[in-house]
Amino acid sequence: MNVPLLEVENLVVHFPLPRGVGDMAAGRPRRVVRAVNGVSLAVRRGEALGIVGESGCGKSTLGRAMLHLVPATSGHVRLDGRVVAGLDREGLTGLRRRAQIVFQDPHASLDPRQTVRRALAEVLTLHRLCPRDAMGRTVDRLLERVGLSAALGDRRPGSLSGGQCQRVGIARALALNPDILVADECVSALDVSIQAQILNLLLDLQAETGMAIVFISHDLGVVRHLCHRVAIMYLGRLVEEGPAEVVLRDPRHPYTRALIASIPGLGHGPKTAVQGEPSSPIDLPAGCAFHRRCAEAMEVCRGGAPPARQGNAEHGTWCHLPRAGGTTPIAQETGLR
Amino acid sequence: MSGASLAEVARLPRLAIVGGAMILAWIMVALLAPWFAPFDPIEQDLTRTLLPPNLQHWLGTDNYGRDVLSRLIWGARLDLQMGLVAVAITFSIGTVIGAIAGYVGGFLDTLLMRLLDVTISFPFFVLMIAIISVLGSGLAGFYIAVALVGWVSYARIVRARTLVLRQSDFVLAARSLGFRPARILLRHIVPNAIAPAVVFSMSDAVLYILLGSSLSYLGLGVEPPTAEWGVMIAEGQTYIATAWWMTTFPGFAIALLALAFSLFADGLAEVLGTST
Repeated sequence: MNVPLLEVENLVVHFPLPRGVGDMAAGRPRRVVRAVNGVSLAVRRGEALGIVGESGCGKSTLGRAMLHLVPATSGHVRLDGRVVAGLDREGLTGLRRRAQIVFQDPHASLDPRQTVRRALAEVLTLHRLCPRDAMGRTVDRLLERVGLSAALGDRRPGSLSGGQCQRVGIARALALNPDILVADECVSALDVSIQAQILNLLLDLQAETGMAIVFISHDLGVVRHLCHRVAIMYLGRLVEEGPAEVVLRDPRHPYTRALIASIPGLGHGPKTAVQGEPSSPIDLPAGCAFHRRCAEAMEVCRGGAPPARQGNAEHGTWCHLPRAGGTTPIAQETGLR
Repeated sequence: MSGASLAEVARLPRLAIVGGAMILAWIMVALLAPWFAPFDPIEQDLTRTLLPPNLQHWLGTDNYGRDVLSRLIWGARLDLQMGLVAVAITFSIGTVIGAIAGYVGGFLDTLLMRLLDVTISFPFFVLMIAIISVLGSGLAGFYIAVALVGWVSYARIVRARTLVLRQSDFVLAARSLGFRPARILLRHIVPNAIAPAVVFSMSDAVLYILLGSSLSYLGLGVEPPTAEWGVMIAEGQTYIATAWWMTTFPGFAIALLALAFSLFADGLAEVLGTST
């Protein structure tokens, strides 16, 4: 089967801002946050895909739009080749069962009034995945799979640590046996020592179930160890996409190179760290969204349409400055999976 | 509160336990009035009018020779009922409106909130008295007026919490798990949104007890000869110079009941981490 598991095509997600009376009187148009601006990306069966970018670049919105948790302004999301938008209730339930998400803040992602056991049982009951008399054992097994003792089942999120809450969040997603799991910054709120445990847990579960995982992260340094492929995002657009190994060895886009240069331990590459703040997603610059911070910006980058995809089917970049191969000093340092 | 266990009660601050015990004591007094009250609260005995507190009539008698203590005990029934029923009505209506407005949003939210603004823009007491004047005095009129006016505070509180919770990760998680909107609202948002409203309802009960007795005092609530604290104060007013016990003890009773609810509300607020 060559149909990707989940595919987005020209996905656009805009959030209209509230329009004040003053704006209306002055005839100013409604302002819009352009969180995602035409992203095309495919998630393949069983792979680990990283979506990397700094905060505010739209990566979380992209992840949520993939799961139809925020409505797409335009474009398509396809699951097994079938368009997700406009699904009826049954179709939507099918999507929910197959695609799950784990959030950044482990405490906030659990209902504070529900015990762990009740939260997991609720999912199993509503999807009729488990008969009532087997519920206790099924919940215990779920807890065990994420490395929690069954004794924690009667606790509420308030008396669990961040790492434990995140494991519960993973168990809850796992209860539905999803084909795809979106991990939205799922370790950035945790201690470094716990981060590794949670990431290893996700990789173990992936090996066990064969589900695809989309790691959304601001940290290319973490993602490179986990993912087969990475997609780099900047201001609502992809700037580079390709196999993790290739992108790290041979980054084509100035932004990707800046990200790689800022990875601790790899940082003695060429000093191309980006300066300043990204532009506002409300007032996007014309041309390439990155041109204001790009050291190599040319006249063509500053106006007109954003650059088109360059490169081959595997490794693509959206830049006017296609960079011929050639290894950077970073390449030798990256021991990749 | 769902899931309130013994352990949770034990965490209550001491003053809240005192307040809770006082509320329970008043409820017992009200329920057991026929057994507690030494005399009939209504029957007049014109041979024993305006007796000061003595061994037979602990709190004295009023101008019709009725035992003040017995009227106080029977009055607890009405005053407690006015407080609790009024809060139950306003809490329910306000929570439903607030939760729906906050969760559905859009035009419905705007409509309900404008309705709320209109209601709130009238002075509370004036509006209550106006509605009761139209409906006629009595408990039914009181409760209808309370229902029309009192829901606004709860609607505001619950709507504000719902707006926050609607955006929270666990609600998003519930959506991604395929839970229906009604379930998300009822099982996940409302139970988390009502904590501040529960705390508020305790101090609100005080308000309705005072309001109920004030209206009775003004002749717009419960009517004489029914035993009710506000009625008792109104009747005793004429005799305040000669028979202080007729007004002082019902006044004490109102203060004690109000204090009980306030203490309990403060303690609850502390435990639930909200402030009023």
